[in-house]
Amino acid sequence: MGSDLSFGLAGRRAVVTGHRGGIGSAIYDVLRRDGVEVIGLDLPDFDLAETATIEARVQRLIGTDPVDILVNNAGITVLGSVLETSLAEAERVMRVNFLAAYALMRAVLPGMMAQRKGAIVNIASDQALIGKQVSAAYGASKAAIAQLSRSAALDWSGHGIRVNCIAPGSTQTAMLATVIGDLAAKYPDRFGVSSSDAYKAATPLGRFADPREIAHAVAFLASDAASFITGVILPVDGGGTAQ
Amino acid sequence: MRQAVITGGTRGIGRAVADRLAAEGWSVLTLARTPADGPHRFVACDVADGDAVRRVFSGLERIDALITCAGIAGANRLDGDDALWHAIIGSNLHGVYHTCKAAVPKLPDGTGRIVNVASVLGLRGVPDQTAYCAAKHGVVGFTRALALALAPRGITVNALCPGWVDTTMARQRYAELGITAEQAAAGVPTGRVATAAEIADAVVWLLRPESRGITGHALPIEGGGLALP
Repeated sequence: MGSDLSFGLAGRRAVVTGHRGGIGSAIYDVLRRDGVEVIGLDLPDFDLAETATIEARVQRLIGTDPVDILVNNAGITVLGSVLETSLAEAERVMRVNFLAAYALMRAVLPGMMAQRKGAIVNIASDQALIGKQVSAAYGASKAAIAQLSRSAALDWSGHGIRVNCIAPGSTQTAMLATVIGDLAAKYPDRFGVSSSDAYKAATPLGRFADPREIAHAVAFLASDAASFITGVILPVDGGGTAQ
Repeated sequence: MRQAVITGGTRGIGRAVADRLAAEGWSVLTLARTPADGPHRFVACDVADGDAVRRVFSGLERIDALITCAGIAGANRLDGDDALWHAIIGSNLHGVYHTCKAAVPKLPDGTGRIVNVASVLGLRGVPDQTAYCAAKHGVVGFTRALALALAPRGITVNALCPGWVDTTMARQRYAELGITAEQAAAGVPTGRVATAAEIADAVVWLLRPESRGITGHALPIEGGGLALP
């Protein structure tokens, strides 16, 4: 699908978090294929939960050359209601899904300001727009990064820096398979169906997203074709949130 | 060669879309009430007239993409007559309904695309354009519903919601509001208005195969204005 696509990004420099994961590896591949130098940040060599030191560690990695594109993609899930999710678990989700992105924006914004050009794409979730059961910490973390995208878009619009957010629906990844299995195991009365077919049927297009479909939306928002798009939350969800 | 029908394709955003798609190798048919100088195939059609739309579409064999750009704008006073209300609703909302309805049977399963150019005023209100806001909100709602109706066929339907775009229509609106182009630009967080080509860029992207998972959405293209309070 679309292997010959170009987004005109050749020669640019990007930081992508979670680049070894399902969606992240697709983003990494699509950007690399378009000629982007991609600096990936992911476990085991880069722990985004250690938020206090992210700025310093990233600055060492990126050096003095500015970063043109930042993709905050890394995310972790924890299933559970408020009472089922400990404060420590919720804090860890907020650190990886929200504060790490915040710290990375702090790390790359000065360079983007200096060159008066930059594109930041934050990966949230359809849960930034709608609520889901037993997803208290995850849903809140994704709503947080979506709202950060809108606020930051306004703060940096005068500096040639665009900030947007993608809200993927269920995407065919190992993480999704784990979530579907865990839901059925932990809550058999509410999520008795462990087959992914039931979840696919609940999506208007009748299927999960291919990770590359998310990656192509990232490349579009990072590219000059989206030069007037900033502060938006773009669902890539097969129509799920249009219902 | 893929076939695109573009309503309002002779001027402004529609013309920019026609130019871009033709450059990308599409066969382009533009519809508008009156012809204008341009290289694209043209058929005269008032999209507010359902019979006229049906006549035009009955002569088309296959349509891969419908892009609805036709629209009129104007401040409609609630203490005035109803003509302008009906004209704006007719072109901007009924026109989208008539053309989508006529195009749906001719769109291919799996790859068909509809892109409705709505407006940021499909997502928020301004005090003196009740008809335009009602019509554009209507287009966004119609887009969401039609997307769900066509999802089983793998056809995507999305709306684009531009803010200020540098077109003749926008310049007429600046005059109506008594503002300069510079003042309009200053009200946009990015400090400038969009070009019609930037709206065409988003259309091209939505028509690409890898955008097939995006349906039922209203994408703002307005330089961050909607993120403002």
